[in-house]
Amino acid sequence: MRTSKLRSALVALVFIVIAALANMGLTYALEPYGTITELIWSQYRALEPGQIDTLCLGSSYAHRSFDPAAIDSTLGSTSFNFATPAQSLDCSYDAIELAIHEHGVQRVILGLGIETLPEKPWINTYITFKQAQMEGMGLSESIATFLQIPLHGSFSGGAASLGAFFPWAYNHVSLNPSAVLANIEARRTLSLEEAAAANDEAMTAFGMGYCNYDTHLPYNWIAPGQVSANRWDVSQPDPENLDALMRILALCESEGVELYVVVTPRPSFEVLGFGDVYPANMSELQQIVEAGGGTYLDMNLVHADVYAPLDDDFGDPEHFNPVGAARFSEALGSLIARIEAGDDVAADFYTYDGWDAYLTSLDRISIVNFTATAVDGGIEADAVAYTGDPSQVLYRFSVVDENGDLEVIRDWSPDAHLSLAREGHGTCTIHVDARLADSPAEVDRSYQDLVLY
Amino acid sequence: MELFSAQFLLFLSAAWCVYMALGRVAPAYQWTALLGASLVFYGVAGGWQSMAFVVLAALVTWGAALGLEKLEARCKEERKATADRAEKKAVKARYQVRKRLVLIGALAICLGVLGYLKYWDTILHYLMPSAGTLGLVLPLGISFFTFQATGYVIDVYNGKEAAEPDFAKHLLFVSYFPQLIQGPINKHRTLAAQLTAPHAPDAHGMRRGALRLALGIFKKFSIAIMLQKTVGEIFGNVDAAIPGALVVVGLLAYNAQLYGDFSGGIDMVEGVSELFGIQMDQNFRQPYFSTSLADFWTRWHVSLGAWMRDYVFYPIALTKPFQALGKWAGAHWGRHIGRTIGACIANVIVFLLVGLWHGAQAHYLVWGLYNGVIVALADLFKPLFDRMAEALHVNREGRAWHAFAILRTFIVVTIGRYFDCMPVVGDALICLRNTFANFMPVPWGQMLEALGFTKGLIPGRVLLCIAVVLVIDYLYEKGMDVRERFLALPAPVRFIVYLVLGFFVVSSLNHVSEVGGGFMYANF
Repeated sequence: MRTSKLRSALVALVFIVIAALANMGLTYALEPYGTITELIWSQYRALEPGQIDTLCLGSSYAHRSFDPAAIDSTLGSTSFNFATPAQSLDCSYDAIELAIHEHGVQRVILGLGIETLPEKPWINTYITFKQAQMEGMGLSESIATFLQIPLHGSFSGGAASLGAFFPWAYNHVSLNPSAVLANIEARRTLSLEEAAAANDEAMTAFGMGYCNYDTHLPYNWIAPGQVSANRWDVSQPDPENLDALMRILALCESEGVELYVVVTPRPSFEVLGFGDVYPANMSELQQIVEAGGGTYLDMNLVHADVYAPLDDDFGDPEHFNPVGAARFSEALGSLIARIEAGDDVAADFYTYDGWDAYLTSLDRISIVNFTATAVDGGIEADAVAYTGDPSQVLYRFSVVDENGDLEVIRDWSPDAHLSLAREGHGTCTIHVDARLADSPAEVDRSYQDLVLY
Repeated sequence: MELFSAQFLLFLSAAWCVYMALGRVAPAYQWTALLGASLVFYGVAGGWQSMAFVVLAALVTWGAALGLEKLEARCKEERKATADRAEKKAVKARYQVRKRLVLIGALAICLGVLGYLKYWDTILHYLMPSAGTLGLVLPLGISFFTFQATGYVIDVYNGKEAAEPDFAKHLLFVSYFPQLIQGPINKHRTLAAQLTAPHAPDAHGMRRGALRLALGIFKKFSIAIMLQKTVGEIFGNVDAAIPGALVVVGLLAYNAQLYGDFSGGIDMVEGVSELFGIQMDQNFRQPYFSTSLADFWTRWHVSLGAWMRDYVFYPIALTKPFQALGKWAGAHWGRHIGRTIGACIANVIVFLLVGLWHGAQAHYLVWGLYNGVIVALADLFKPLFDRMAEALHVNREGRAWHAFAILRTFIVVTIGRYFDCMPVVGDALICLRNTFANFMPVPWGQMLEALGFTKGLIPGRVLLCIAVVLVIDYLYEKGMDVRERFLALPAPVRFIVYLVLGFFVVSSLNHVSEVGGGFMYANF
C-alpha cells in the first residue's frame, strides 16, 4: 500500500516535471525573441553608472516621441529613452527608481496621453517588462519581481494572474511552423539587436533606448474605429494607475529630481474626438501633477510659434515617425531648457479653461470620415469632419463604381447627413469629400468605405 | 476572484487542506471549514458588503423553516387534544393559515429583495425613461442562493423536509462556495447532509473531480472565451442589412459559447465540489442531444427547471381553477385537451418566469414566451403529430428519425436564441427576417470585408474543441461514464491528453484579457 502510494507520487512528480519542461520549451519556441522591451532593457544595462542624467519614459506615446539625441541637442543633457510599449505607470515607477539609484538621474520626462490613467495595465506587455527586468537579477529578487505579476492589483483574482507561469500565451510568434522555427533559429544565432531588426524591418533602432517606425499616417483613410476616442473608455481613471502616478511624483520630489509630465502631441482629430472630455480629464491630471511638484506640459496645446507638428510627422494616429519625433524632441528640449533657465512658459500654451481659443486655432480639417447604417430601402450615412469649427465645413458625397470612378450624388453642402436610396441588398462604396468654406483647396480631406445594404 | 486564477487555486488548496485536516482531528466539525471557506470566498469574490444578502436569505429561511415546524408540531398537539372531528379540521385550517403567512412572509422578503435589486432599475427605466437608474448592484449569485433557500422553506412547508435547527449549518447550505457563482440550485435533501457529513481524502473521487474541473476549464476557455468577441461583434451593431448567413454563423457560435460558458462553469464548480467529496445536483445532461424542446429543458439548466417544476408548475397546474378548466375543456374539446390544457398554460407561465428570471428586459420575456408556447403547442397537438406520423408511415423508433428530432430541436432552440442573445427585440426580428429574406446578398468574403471582419470569424482550433466536447457528450449520451473510462487509460496517454487540452486552454488566456473571464450566468 505504502509502496503503491509512493510510486503514484513519483509518477505524478515525473509528469509535473515533464509538464514544466514542456512549458519552458513552449516559452523558448513561441515567445518572440528580440522584443523592443528586451532591446531597451539590454541597452539600459549596457550604460556605464552615472552615464545619463535624463530619463524619458512612458508607453509607446513616449517611446515614439522622445528622440534622446534631439532632446540632448537642445537641452544639453544625456538622456535615455526607457519607454516601452504599453508601459504601465507602476513599471515606469520601477524604471525611475532604478535610474535614480544607478545613474543619479536629475530629470525625468514622463510621456503620456489621455488614455494613460484610465486604461488598465496590459498583461502581455507587463509580463514582457517584468521578464526583461528579471534578467540578471539574483534569485530572491527575481522571485519577488515574478510575484508582482500574479499579485498586481489589475491581474490578481483573474485568469491573467496565471500569465506569469505561461508567458508564451500572451506573447507569441505566429503559430505556424516556419515562424516558430525562425524564432528558435534567431535565439540560437542572432544578437538581441539583430533579432529586433529582423522582427520588423520598418523599425530602426537609434540607440539610447530609442527606436521608431518609418511610417506615414494616411489622413484620407482613418475609419471611425481608428479614432482613439472611439476605442478607449476614458471616463474613469484606474486607481492602480493613479496610485502609481502619485508614487512617481512623491519619489521624484523626495529625490530632488525634476519631473516633467508631457502629454505627447497627436494629430488634432485625436484631441477633437474626445470633445469636452479632453479638457475636463486633462485639467484634473494637470492639477494632480502640479500639486505633486511636477511640471505639466500638454504639447497638444502649445502655440504654433513654439512648436506645431506637420502632417507628415505622424506614423499613425497616436505616434510620431522618426522625423516627427526628432522635430518634437528638439522643441521639447528647448522648452525644458527655457523652464530650467527660469522662463515662465505658461503663456506659450492654450489652457483647458480657455478651450475655445484652442479650437479657434484649429483652422484646418484634420480628417473626415463617416459612419453608415443600412435601413430598409437604403443607407443612412453621417459624416464627421474634425476641425475647430465644424459649422464651416462643406461635404460632397459620391458613390464609387466598379472601375473606381466617382459619381457625385450630392454636391457641396453643409449637410453632413446622407440618405442614399438602394433597392434590394448588396454593397456600395461611399466617398465623402470635405473642405472648409473658405479653403483655397478644392478638397481638404476625403474618406471612403464599403457599405453593406 | 475568478475560478481560473492563481488566487482561486491558492484559496482552493488552502480550503482543501484545512477541511481534510479538520476531518482528521475533529470530524464532527469538519463542515465549519467549508463554512469559513464559503464566507471568505463570498467576501473576496462578491464583496463583503454583499454578504449581508446571503446572511439575510439564510436567516429568514432558517427562521421561517423552524417556525413552520413549530406550528406544525403545535397543530398536531392541538388536534390530538381534541376528539371532535370538526374541531380538528378547524385547528388544521387555523394553523394552515398561519403557516401560509409564515411562508408568504419568508418568500416576500427573499424574493422581494431579489426582485428589487434585479428589476427595480429596469422598471424605473420603463416607467420614466428620462430618469437615471438607482445604480443597484446585483450581489453575486443572488438568484441562485435565493432560489435554493426559498425552495428549502417551501419543502419544509409541504412537510417534505425537516427544518435545520443549526443556523450555521443552514448558512453553509445557502452559501456553499462552489454553487455561489452560477448554481446549480441544489435541493436541501441532496446537499445538506453531504455538507455536514465527514469526508476523508478519496484519491479516486478527487481524480474524477479534477478531471471534471479540467473539462470545465477546457469548455470555458477553449470555446466560450474564444467565441465571445466574435459573437459580440456580429450582434453588436445590427442594422437592416445584416446578412442571414452571418446571423446563422453568429447564432451557432452563440450556442457554442453559451454552452461552453455555462456548462463549463458548472463542470468547474461541480469538479471543485467533488474534490471535497460533495456531489452537487446535476445541471446539464447533453442538452444538444434532446429530441424535443420539452426534452431540452430537462437537460439544460436542470436545477432551475426542477425548481420551476416543483415550486411553480405543479402548484399552478394543480390549483382548483386549473383542474376545473381541464374538466371543462375535456368535456367540450376532448380528453387529450382536457388533460393537457392546464399543463400548457402552466408551462407558458413557467417559461415566462424563466425569461423574467434572466432579466426584466423585453427580449427575455419574448424568449420565455416563445419557449413556453412551443412546449405547450407540442403537447397540445401531440395526437395530431402522432396521426401525421402514422399516415406518413414514419418510423419514429429508427435512427434517422432520432437524428432528425435532434436536428429539429436544435433549430427550434436556436430560433429562441435570437431573442436571448440580442438585447433588443427589434434587432432579433431583423435578424430573424434576414435569415430567410436576405441570407447572402454578396459573396461571403466581400460581406466580411464590408463589415470589417478582416481576420475571419471563427478560428479552426475552436471548431476542433467544439468537436471534442460534442464527442464527449455523445459518449455520455450513449451511457458511457467517460470520466471512468478516461481514468482507466494508461497514465502516459492521459498525460498527453492533459497536455494537449492544456495547450488549448493556456493559449486562449490572451483572449481573456480582451473579454474578461467572468461567467455569463453569474449576471443572472
